[in-house]
Amino acid sequence: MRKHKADRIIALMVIILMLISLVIVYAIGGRVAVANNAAHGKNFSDSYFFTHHAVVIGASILFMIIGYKLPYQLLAKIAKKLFWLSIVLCLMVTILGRMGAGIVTCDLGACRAFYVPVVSVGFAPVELLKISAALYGAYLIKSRKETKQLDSKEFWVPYASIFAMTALFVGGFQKDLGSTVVISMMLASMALVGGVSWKNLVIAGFVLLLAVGVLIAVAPHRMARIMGWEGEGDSYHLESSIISFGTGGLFGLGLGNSIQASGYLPESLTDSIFSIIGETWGFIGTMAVLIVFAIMLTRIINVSRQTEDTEKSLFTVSVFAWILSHVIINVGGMLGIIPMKGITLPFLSYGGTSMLFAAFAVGVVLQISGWTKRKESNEDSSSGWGQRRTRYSGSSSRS
Amino acid sequence: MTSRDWRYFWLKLIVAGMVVVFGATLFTVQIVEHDKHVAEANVMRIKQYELLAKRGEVYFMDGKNNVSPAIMNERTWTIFVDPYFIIKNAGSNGVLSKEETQAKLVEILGDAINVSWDKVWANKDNMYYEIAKNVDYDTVVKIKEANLRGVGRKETSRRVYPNGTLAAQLLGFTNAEGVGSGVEGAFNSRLTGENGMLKTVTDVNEIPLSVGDDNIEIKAKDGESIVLTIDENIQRKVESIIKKAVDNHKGGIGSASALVMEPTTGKVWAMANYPTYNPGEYWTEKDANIYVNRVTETPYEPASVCKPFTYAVAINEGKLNPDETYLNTGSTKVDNRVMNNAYGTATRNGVITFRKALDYSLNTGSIEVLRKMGDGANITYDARKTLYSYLYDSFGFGKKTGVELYEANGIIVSPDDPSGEGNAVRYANMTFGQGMNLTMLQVAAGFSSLINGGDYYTPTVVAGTYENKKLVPAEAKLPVRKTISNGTSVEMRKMLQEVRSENGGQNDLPGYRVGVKTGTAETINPKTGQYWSGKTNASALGFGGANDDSALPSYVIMVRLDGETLLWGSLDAIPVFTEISNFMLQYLRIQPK
Repeated sequence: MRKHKADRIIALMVIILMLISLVIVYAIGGRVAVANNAAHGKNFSDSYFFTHHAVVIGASILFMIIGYKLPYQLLAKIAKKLFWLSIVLCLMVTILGRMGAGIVTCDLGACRAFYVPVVSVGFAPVELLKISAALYGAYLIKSRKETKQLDSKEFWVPYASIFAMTALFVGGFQKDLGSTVVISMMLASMALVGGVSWKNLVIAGFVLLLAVGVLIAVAPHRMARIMGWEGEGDSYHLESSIISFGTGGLFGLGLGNSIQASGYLPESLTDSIFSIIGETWGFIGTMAVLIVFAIMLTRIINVSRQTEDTEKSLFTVSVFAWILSHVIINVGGMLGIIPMKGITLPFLSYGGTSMLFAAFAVGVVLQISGWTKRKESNEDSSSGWGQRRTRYSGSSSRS
Repeated sequence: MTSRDWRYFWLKLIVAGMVVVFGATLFTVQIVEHDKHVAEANVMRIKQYELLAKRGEVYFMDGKNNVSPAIMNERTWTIFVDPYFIIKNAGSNGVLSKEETQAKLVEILGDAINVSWDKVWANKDNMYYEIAKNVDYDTVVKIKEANLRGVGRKETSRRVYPNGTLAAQLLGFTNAEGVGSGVEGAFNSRLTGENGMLKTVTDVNEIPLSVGDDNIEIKAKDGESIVLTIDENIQRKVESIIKKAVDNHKGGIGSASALVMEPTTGKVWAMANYPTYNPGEYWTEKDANIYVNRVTETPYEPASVCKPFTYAVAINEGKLNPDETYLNTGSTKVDNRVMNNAYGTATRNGVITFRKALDYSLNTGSIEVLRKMGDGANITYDARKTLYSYLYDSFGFGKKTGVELYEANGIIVSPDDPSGEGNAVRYANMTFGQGMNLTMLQVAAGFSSLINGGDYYTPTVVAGTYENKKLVPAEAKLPVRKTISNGTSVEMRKMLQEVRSENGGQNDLPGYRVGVKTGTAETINPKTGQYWSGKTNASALGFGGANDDSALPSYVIMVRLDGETLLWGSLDAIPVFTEISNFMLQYLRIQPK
């Protein structure tokens, strides 16, 4: 297998989204600053959000290049350690947050990110967990597949543990149901594509439903709250979001004319940026963004489909699931189709860690896309995995 | 397709499904329901504000061309707290607890806080509680610097009276409901102006945004600033003179009022009442009577100051030559009722000219004049009709003068009055100013025409408006009617100047000619409806500045002292008149002859 050009369409889609994001933040950043200063006694300058965002986007592009250049084998090697590091960091952010340490930011009792005050950089360990879960999950499936243990407890116990720890530390302690769902979807997509039998997939899904059912039965009130069906501010947030979309109409109010950004719509730079796009550029704008995502996702899944290396293929599909579930949860929430969860829209939402790690993950996918087998027949691909794996085992230093 | 292909197919289907579901939802929300959401948005963010018009200010004249402030606006602030916000957010984001907030506010505002703190915090759902009003600029700056969250301020306006009690009853005040007295009350609609309206798209903190095409702004129309004809210097002097008179009399004078006006225009230069109050703190007064401008609002029986009117009517009708004589016996009988001259005039009994009868203020003289208007022996209906027509129709007695202030009608009884009250006895009384209730302004305005050649000017207190720091004079008013002929008027001036020589003329500044008529009125006890035996009112009504026969007088002065004891026009009112008159002669720079 020879290296060929990477899938530049994926990179182009990411850059398009980042530019849209930059333009929107430039247009409404000043108004958001004014509303924030008035409502919370802050002192943001008009250009604060734009400047900050431009720096983050620059860094994200750098992360994407690093992801592209850094050999996957190296990442695969440290996958397990990286996973445990993320778990420890997720625990620390909770513990330090409960202790009231200044380096952790908490919002409404949920402590999710470290904060370095001097350079005002935030770091949410759950984003590191996402990429390390992808790397570790892909490794687990690949190695158990080699030993034909994919449908045994040798696979299920560690694989389910990734989910269980995420559910406990992220969903439970950090009250971040959105990211828990994202990681679950990443794990599920890898299990699906990795060849876990339909029977076991159905059992896993059934057990998951049962667990949720038991939780609801034991503590219905808490579950309802976690699921966001009783959130106090959510109905207002949704109402404002719908008004943003609705007033945008077909073509939108035009750049810089957003009224909802002047404090009506909560999180208008971060979680609600899609609503602002709807207000600014209307139905044309929202559909364009959806199509950009659809092209990107289709290209990514094609990379996975055409990658013969199981581990890389699985990693790629988990990045697909990562981005797709973010889009579904964010946009679905903003449109009121599903309960609203505080989750970012990849490459569009203002904010540091989320964009940096998503960009890094897409960088790795770009690297993988340079090694795909193109125009191969469908018949070879599934059966060919096992043999071709051996060719890479030499270059992989993992034993 | 292989199993692996199927698995990828399901994933691609999710992408397609997402685009379809979201696309359809977006189509519904953004295109189908567009108008509905625009309407919802407008309800949420288009705000309508009232733009408050600034209340007009009031000025005095200060000399002929300058103005000086009488009622000004001062920026003040109302401080309020949001108990709901403070109680809910205490301890987070720099929000102090209610105790800490309260302590800080007490430290800064001190006594300005006029509420009970228990009440402030009692309802924790309340989002607005005013704790201090009329807070000045320096204090509000301290509040701002303290940066207390959940504490707000809003700008308000307060009326200030830079001269304290000066012209208090004339200027008056308005209360919170806009009901008031004096200029503040009577000019309320001119001073108020019209509030404007601002309809605009706002941000969530209700700060207007520049975006949107539906913004409407109707500017507020500020109230007019009024310049009064009242001359601050004359007003101040007159007030000090009547205050001195009241103080010197040690309780004998219940209240004193004085009026100075220009007889050739109807402009009022001073309108003073004592005791007085500070309209800036009107709420501290216990007795609301102190707010009343007695010059225009409290009619009384002015007594002998009205005799010149009786004379003028008869002369104007050609029924009286003042040099004729009659026999003064000290009393005369009208319809079985004996009417006497004032106490202490017995030395004047005998044959006397009417001119002299006026000098000594003999009631028999005035009654005789009225008889001459009839058949010469009786107070006939025609005589009464003639007098009534002059007093009511021409001189404007017993009805509102039309001045811009609140004023009373007073009472004058017509001979045709169905009650039969307009009989000879009443009209005999009316010849010397009893039996009718008149305001000082009615008498002084009528008197102005009596001595100015017969031109009646509607009295006015408005010199103009104050616009862009400049006096814009009101249109000069023309006389509204002729009361008596110029010849009669010349004769009346001469007679009143003679009266003056018997009544304090020796105290006039040398080289000036002043005319006056005094009055001492019995007053009615409001409880019994009968005349008091031990209380009288003293009045003086006169003019000055006409230094030769053809020249018109420069000023008219009327003084009224309401007695708690027996007061006398010539003893008590004349010194007040003289002091004001001498001041006016100098203030108006009238050249002595």
